[in-house]
This record gives sequence, structure tokens and C-alpha cells, in this order.
Amino acid sequence: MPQFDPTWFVSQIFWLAIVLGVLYWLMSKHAIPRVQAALEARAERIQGDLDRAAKLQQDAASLAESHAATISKARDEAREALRVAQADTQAALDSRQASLAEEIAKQTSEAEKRISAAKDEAMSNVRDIAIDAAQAIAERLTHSNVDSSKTTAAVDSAINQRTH
Amino acid sequence: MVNDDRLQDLGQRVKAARTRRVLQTQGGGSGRGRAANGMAVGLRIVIEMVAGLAVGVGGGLFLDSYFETAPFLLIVGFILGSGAAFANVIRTARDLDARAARERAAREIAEDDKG
Amino acid sequence: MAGNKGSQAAESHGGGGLDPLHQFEIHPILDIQIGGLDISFTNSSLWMVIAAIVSFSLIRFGAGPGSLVPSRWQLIAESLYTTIADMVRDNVGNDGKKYFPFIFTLFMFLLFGNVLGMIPGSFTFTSHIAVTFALAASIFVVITAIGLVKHGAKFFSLFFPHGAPIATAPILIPIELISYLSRPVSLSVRLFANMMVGHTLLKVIASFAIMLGVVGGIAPLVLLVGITALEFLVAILQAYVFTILTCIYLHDALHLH
Repeated sequence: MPQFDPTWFVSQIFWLAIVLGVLYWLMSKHAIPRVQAALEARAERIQGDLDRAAKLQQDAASLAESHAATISKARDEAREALRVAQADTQAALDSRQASLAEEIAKQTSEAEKRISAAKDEAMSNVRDIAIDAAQAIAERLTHSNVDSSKTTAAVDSAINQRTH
Repeated sequence: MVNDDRLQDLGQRVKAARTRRVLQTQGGGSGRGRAANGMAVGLRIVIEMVAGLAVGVGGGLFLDSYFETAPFLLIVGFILGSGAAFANVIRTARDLDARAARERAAREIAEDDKG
Repeated sequence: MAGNKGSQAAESHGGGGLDPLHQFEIHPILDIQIGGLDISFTNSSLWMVIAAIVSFSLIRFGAGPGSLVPSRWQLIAESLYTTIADMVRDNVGNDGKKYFPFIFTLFMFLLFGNVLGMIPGSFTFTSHIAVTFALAASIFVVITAIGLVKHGAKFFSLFFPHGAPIATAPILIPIELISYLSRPVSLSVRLFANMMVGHTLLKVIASFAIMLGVVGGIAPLVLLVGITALEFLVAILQAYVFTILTCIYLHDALHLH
């Protein structure tokens, strides 16, 4: 096997040392730092992006929270305003109803008074007529003068009996 | 609320990405070493054995010629070399085991990540 | 072969004969003799240089302007970089960072030494035990020195397993010492044997395909295609294994178990 021919051992080892030495120097000085720089820049960028994404996500979450709080506050306020407006309307309605009812009651009582006055007047007219008629009927029947006070009393008692 | 769901989903994704990143950069064995196949393992173990034996025998022969004690040190070297061969094989097997275990762990992490 | 290496090399290179071992023969391109040592620039040296140029160019120019979103070549360069960076981090630990440039260089050199060796008519310098052993032995010596400098006499505790009875020391320490010394042997032999066996196998099967002609050669040809694919895998895997074992040995020296 050519592998065990010692003729070239020295040459092989010599060139191995030279080539590997030069390659090591070139790699460590001119190649590895470049790759490393690119990788580090990328790692930094990715880490930064991730951190920023996390921060933005948190910001968004807190924003959403405050947004929700604002909305619920506004809803509460609107509900309150609605309630106040309803109460106001109700109160106005109630007071108007009350005044209307009062008016109606006043008008009713006035009308009743007028009616009762008219009734009293009518009643007294009827009494006079009844007394006169009773007087006349009694005088025609008895052909004598009848005491008008007796007639009056009789008519009154008769009216009282009827009306009560 | 659709918006809230999306926000939470985003939050989860950001968190997952950051965890993955930590796993990637802080190591703990990314387990890139491939499991050797049968033939390679066999060859490796044979070479470990032969190397141990060769060093024992070679050392025995060398010391024999130096101290002119042939063939005693050759015999001693052969025996010790056999011991070294076994030690090498045991060490290699242990190393292969550890590697396989690490690879399994790495695969599990990768699957957890996916799921 | 030492006497007429020039003519024999020319013959082996141009002929493409059926001897499967011809592909491993070294022939000089430029004769250099210093102090009685033959350090000629050979086809082996040439392919070392080519592997070095290709691996450096891939990383240096593949990295390109180092843009945020990588181009295709940048992605390849970065994947290789992160593969080895992960390997160093996982197998050596965080204090292995300063050895990363060497380990990365080693990996790239071996990777392209192995893979470029798959080109027909090229030379695979990693299929030579002299190269792999010199590499493994010098790595071994340097790693041992690192361990000794870092831990002093405590480094020798590496040769005695934890918790073993003291009485077993006279047997265990020599065994562990031999086991330790066998590391560069197994490291270099593994790479050398894999590359050599693979290339020889390819050559043998290719010879069959040629010998058996158009009709009979189809089966070996199919086999050849399959084994070529496998050999590419082996070329990559062996560079990886050599590098990862270097990392593991470095870890042992730095952390003592």
C-alpha cells in the first residue's frame, strides 16, 4: 500500500503543517469574524424584534384594556343620562297630569255648584208653585180661606218626604 | 370580541417565539449530532479496540527493546492493551448512548414546539 | 518505488489502471530537498492547498457582505459555522469558545479533503495514515498540554476512574493510560481507514463495471452510484466525527471527566 511507504511521510507532514497553519491564520483573521458578525447582527436583530413585538403586544393589550374601560364608562354615563331624562319626563308628565286633574276637579265642582244652585232655585220655584197650587186647590175644595202658613208647612213636609 | 382573541393569539405567538429563541441560543444541546448507523458504530468500536490493543502491544515491544526484557513487557502490554481495548469500547458505548439520549430529548423538544 | 517515483507517478496518474491502490500513490510536482529531507510539493500537497483554498473561499466569500437575510452561499457558510459552534458548545462547553477557530478550520480542512477526494482523478490526502496520524498526534499532544497547564498534577486524575478502590490502581492506571494514548491512534486510523476503504471499494466496483462491459456492467454501475452516494455521506461524517472527537478530548482535558 502506498500509504505505508515512508518516502513521502516527511513531505506530507510538512505540507500538512504549512497548509493547516496558513488556513488557520486566514480563517481566524479573515473568514470567521465576518460570519460571526453577520450571525451576531442577525441574532441581535431577531432578539430585538422579538422584544419589541412582546412590548408592542403588551402595549396593545393595555390599550385594549383602557379602551374597554372607556367604553364601559361611556355606557354607564349614557345609561345614567337616559335614566335622568326619563325621570324628568315622568315628573313633567306627572305635574301636568296633576294640574289637569285639579283643573277638571275645579270645573266639576263649579258645575256641581251651579247645578245645585239651579236645582235649589228650581226647587223653591216648584215649592211656591206647589204652595200656590195647594192653596188654590184647598180653597176650591173647601170654599173657604185656608191659612197659607198651614199650606206652606204641608207642602214643605211633602217635599221633604219626597226628596229624602 | 374578535379583537381580543387576535391580540391574545399574537401574545401567545410572541411568547412561543421567544421561548424557542432561548432554547436555540442557550443550548443545552441542540442535538445536531446524527445517530451513527450500525456499520459506522461497528467500525468505530472495532477501531477503538484495535487502537487500545495496538498501543499496549506497541508500548510493550518498545519498552522490551529499551530495557532488553523481551518478551515480558510485550505480554504485559498485550494484557493491559486488552484492558484498554475494553475500556475504550465501554467508553464508546456510553458515549453513543448519551448521544442517542440527547438526540431523543432534542427531538421531543422539537415536537413539543410544533404541537 | 523510492528510486523511480517520477516515472511511476506519471504512469499511475495517466493510466487509470485497474489496481485499486494506484489512486493513493503520491508523486512529486515540485522537487524540494532541505537538509536531506524530501519535502517535495506533491499531489497530496496540491490537494491540501486546494482543500484549504476552497474551504477558506467558501467561508470568506460565502459570508459575502454579511447581509441580514443570507444569500445561498452565505447560508451554507453560516450553517457550517453554526454546526461547529454548536458542536463546540455542546461537547467542550463555554470555555471551548477560544478553540473554536482551530476546530472550525480543522473541520473545514478535513471536510473538503474528504469531499474533494471524491472527484475522479483527484487525490484524497486524508486516506494517508501519515497525514491523519500526524494530525491526530499533534492535536493529542496540544490537548494534553492544555490539560496539564490548566490542571497541573491534577490532570493525572484522568487516569484513575472516580470511586474505584485504590487497590485496583496498579492495573487501572496503566489501562487508562494506554486507553488515553490510544486516542490519537483510533482517531487517525478511523479517518484513514474509512477514506481508504471507501475509495478502494469504489475503484474495485468501477473496474468491474468496465471489465464486464456495457451489458454486464449495469449492475456494478448501479451499485457504484449507490456507493458513491454513501461515500459522500461517509466523507462528511468522518470529517464530523474527527472534529467531534477532538472536541470531546478537549473537554476531557479542560474538565477532567
